[in-house]
Amino acid sequence: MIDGKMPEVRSQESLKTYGETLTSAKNGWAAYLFTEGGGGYGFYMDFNDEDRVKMLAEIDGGTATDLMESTYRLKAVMGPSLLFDTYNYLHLLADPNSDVVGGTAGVGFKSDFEYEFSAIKGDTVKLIGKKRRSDLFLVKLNAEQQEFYLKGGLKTLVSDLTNYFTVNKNLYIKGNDEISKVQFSVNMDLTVKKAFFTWVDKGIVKTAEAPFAYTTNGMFFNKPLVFNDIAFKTIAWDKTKNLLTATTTNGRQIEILRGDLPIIPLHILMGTDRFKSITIFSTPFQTWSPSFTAMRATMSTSLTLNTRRLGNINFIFNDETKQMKITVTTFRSILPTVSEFIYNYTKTIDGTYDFEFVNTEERTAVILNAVLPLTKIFADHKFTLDYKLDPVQGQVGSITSVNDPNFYMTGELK
Amino acid sequence: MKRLINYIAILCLALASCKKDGPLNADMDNFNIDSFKPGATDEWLKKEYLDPFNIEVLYRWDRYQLSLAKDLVPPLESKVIPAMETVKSIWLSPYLNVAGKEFIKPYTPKQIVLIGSAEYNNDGTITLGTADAGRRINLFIINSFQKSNAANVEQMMHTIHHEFGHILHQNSPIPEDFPRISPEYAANWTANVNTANEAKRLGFVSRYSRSNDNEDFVEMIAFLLVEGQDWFDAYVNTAGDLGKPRLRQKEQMVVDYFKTAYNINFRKLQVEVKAAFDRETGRTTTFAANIARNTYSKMIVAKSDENQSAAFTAAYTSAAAAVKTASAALTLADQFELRFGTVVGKPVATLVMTVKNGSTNEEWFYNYKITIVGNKVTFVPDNTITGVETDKGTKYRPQMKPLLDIIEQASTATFLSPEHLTKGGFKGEVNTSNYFYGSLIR
Repeated sequence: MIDGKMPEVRSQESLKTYGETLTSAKNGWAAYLFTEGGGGYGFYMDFNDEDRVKMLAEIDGGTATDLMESTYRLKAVMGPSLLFDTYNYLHLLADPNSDVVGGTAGVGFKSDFEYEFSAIKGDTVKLIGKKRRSDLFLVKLNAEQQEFYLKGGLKTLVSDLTNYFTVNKNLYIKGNDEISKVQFSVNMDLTVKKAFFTWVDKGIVKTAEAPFAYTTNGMFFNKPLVFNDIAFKTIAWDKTKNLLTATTTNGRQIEILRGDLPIIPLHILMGTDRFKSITIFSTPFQTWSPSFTAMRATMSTSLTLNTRRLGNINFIFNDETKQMKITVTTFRSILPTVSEFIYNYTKTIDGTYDFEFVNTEERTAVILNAVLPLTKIFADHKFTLDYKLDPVQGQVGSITSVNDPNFYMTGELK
Repeated sequence: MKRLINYIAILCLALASCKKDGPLNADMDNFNIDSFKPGATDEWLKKEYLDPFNIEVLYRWDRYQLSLAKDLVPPLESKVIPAMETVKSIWLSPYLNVAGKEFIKPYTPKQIVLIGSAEYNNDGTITLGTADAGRRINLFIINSFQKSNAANVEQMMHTIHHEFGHILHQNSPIPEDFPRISPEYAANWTANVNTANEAKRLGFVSRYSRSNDNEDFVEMIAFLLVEGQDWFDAYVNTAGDLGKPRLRQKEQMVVDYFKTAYNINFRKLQVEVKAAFDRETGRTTTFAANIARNTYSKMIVAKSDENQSAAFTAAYTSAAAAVKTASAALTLADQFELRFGTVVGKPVATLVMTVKNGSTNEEWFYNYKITIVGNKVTFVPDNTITGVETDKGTKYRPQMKPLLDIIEQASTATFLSPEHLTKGGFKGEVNTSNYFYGSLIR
């Protein structure tokens, strides 16, 4: 016996306390769910004392605006438990039918709808899923926050932030002495639903990740998103300022900055799953150097004299095999020929490429002669890669000669 | 070692001496505390299921009723009453009407558990229903239940009739000879070799039937009741020489089993289930749909049938006269047959006209493929798929023309009346006074 009470009496009392806590929140609760599947998801819940709960969920426009009612149940099952015992938005993520909102057939998003009470701390109730050990946080709302949910604020917030993240692809925070910028990005896909830090440490790309749920004014992390001593706990969205500000676990406010170009140097990502090629189209970009424009014109003229037309020039990188292929497309009438020129390369830690010509299958003298200026300069010079902002094209990839910094070209980054 | 044992003995003694006697004073009423408060759905279920039939319908989630290893979800509360209304009218009421309350009370399951999703199995199949120990039926995919969606209702009702079939044979074993009809049972029924066609060829009513004799037996019950006799006859008619007699034998055994084991008229039960199904879902069975799925083996068309149009009778008479004029020895019979079949799943028919040639009978064939769009049915002459017309048939086509014109016209197919589903007819789309009826043989 503890406190002079029999276990069944204490069990009954704690269940009663939890029940009263749930129903006493007169403005309802924000609920943040973090599933075994890995994502975080925001909900609104309002429990009444007749075993009924009303919900909203960030899952889609419908679930964010149409209140749905179902039953819930408080029950002593091993310990005091909260069971969402008929279907509501919460179950969408646990639904084994992948046609409902996605996930994997048979397991959905590996979520829970049966929880054990874990702790009450101030205005927050923490629960743990019985099957999948999902984390569920219930945070008591005030009248204003409740109104946010009931007036469809969740839908607006999700669509505003989705738009913000689509427009601002190069968000970052200031790092430390060694790593000046740390990229911040999110994946809003329901199956991922995480935020990421990405930075380069001694030439190696490192990432940190943490799932997040949408709140009334931004994002909530159950486990902080960490770079060194910076640990994001929440992020607040200021729509009028178009600004995200994070609060760390020790109460620091950190502004998330918007950059024009990505933080991670292009040479680190080139030839990996992130970027594989730079394509120079036949229509000129404003960000081509005059010397490259002239070289391309010479190549083009030489082909035209031989009834051929110059199409795309593609630089394809493979960082694993340390090979780069230049593919040049030429047309005779409408018939395309793709000529490949293969180079091995070495790369310094700061991204200077040294290309060594290996071979080509192309044996057509006309083409070989026409593209010679290009294939030769890549064998003779050293090069660097970078992002560049083209006034017309937006973000493009650029290749610049180290030997002659006035020789550079830009193309589509893929 | 001995010393150790002694120590243990002393220790036990010491412990025993510390024990205090006293009543077990835990208050058992405070165990498994539950906040359950009944709502409108609970009241409805009490009124419709618990009170009259002693069946408890569990829809609020209880993990311990179900497979702990599986990811399942509870049902939407809004689906519970519609689904259980349908279950009542297509399963419970027909049994009640045919077998009476004395049957229902002891044999119906004591619990029906509703689950929102299906149960996903490791072999890639999903479970739609299970029955435990003759006492409980678990019904899955309640969340996709739609009363207006006949296919959906069919699936659910198939499940419940299937599971109830298990309860029946768990109380009274399946006929001893039943497993011998199709001995080719295979535990691994999902194997690629067990195609739907292979199962059918061997006389199984579904792929799943092949898993074992009990499943085979209850699948027969479920198909005969829910998909119905029209469906079953069509299935049998396309089952081939091996499967056909086996399926008919199984059908008879099911009918006999219901009579001997439970004194239930299975044919009456079928009628009740069909009527309830049609009423609930708005399903209608059309003559054209039955032709399309090959429900009938043939249709017998008699010249003197009281339902024939005057134009048809006149055409029949004039064809017979023309044949007679061409060759005095030939006499057309007063009735002919349209024999139905399928070639690569497409419906075909052969008109078989019996002709008396002097003192012997011969048969003239006219071959058709049948085009069916909605209720529009046309017999299109086609010798490429079913073989050639008999020589005589071709030879006397000009004489037969008045009659063949009516048969080959674009027609609307209908049953004689809602009460006479055993008689069907074809009426000219353009010339609606050209029509004929025939008796349908399954």
